[in-house]
Amino acid sequence: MPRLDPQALVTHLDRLYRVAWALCGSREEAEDLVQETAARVLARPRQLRGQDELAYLVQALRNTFLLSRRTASRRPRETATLDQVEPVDPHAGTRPDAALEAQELLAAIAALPEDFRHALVAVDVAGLSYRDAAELLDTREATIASRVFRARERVARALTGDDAPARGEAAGTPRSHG
Amino acid sequence: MTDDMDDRPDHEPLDVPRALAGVRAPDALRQAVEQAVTAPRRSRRASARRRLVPALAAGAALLLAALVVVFASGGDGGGPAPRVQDVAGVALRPAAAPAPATLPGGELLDATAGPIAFPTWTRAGWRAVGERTDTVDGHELRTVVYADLADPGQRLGYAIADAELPVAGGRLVEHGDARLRVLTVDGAHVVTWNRAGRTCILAARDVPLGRLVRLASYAA
Repeated sequence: MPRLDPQALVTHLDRLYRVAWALCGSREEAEDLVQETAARVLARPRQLRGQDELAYLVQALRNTFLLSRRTASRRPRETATLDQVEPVDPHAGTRPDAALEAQELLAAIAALPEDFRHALVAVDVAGLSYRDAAELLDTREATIASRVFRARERVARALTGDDAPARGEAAGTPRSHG
Repeated sequence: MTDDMDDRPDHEPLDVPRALAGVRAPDALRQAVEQAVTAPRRSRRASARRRLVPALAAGAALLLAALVVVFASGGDGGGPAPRVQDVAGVALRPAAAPAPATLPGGELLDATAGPIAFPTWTRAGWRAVGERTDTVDGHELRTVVYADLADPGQRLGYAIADAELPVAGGRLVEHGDARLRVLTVDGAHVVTWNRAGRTCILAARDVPLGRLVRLASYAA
């Protein structure tokens, strides 16, 4: 059975970082998540059980994310209170448009309900096939397709400021945390 | 939640991959991951060398063992760099030597870390009271300790490492033209940034974070 080449972490680093940011909604937490995932993956040899490297790494990152969410309440955060700092971000209005759009997009994805978020992240951010995404999320391909479709709609509405729910979709769906 | 596809899109198609194509992992993260990936390979090579020891003559075995010990302990200076969180405590240590002299002009001290000169920060209300040099995991950090002119009990340390060190967590702050990362390590405020291939660390326990950020923005 083929083993994961540790170098795959470097090869797919940008993609893993985007996945982490979309899951966490924060650049800083994304950096932590990627580093933690790398540490876990490198801790012992990993066998690829029919998965390609990217699918394996996305699964490892997602597992680490879910684990971190479960333990977050038990762990103090090493984060300073920025209310004391002024101005926090004077360049916010002068960032390149593309960077600002990417940040807004990632924030909108991170705010999606969990099932939609994980489906969209797996397909559109990680670049997995619907089949691989279905395996990752332990569901059917058709379900993934549906969730990705709806997630894109929700994100598009969020980015245009039109947050009305789509037809046939319950309003106020609470976001759950895994 | 329903998963059927009765709806039709009300918006333009969303091309997420294209929109995110420009989002790249930060350099510090890339460096940290690359070092983590490289480190186990070195350990495996060291282990392989250790397995050869019984087959060698005693003198050669001793020499090889010594090499393996040095190699495994990072004695070649090529091991994974410590994180900013791991070395921030250095900036909080007391001075071990008198303060460097002030250079003509009054803005800079006669102390440098590579191309970076330590400031006097007199106009900002501080004065240098001492310095120290430490080595952490093969990386040298030069630190100047400053005291508040109005309240000498308030101290801060400005440490400059000999390389860019990985850092994770905290928050990014842009102040003026400076792009800084602020975090809390063991109850101390830490502000860090990279300049000229080196990581700079400003740390204090009793100084308001906003004051540290302003000082850092002068130096970054």
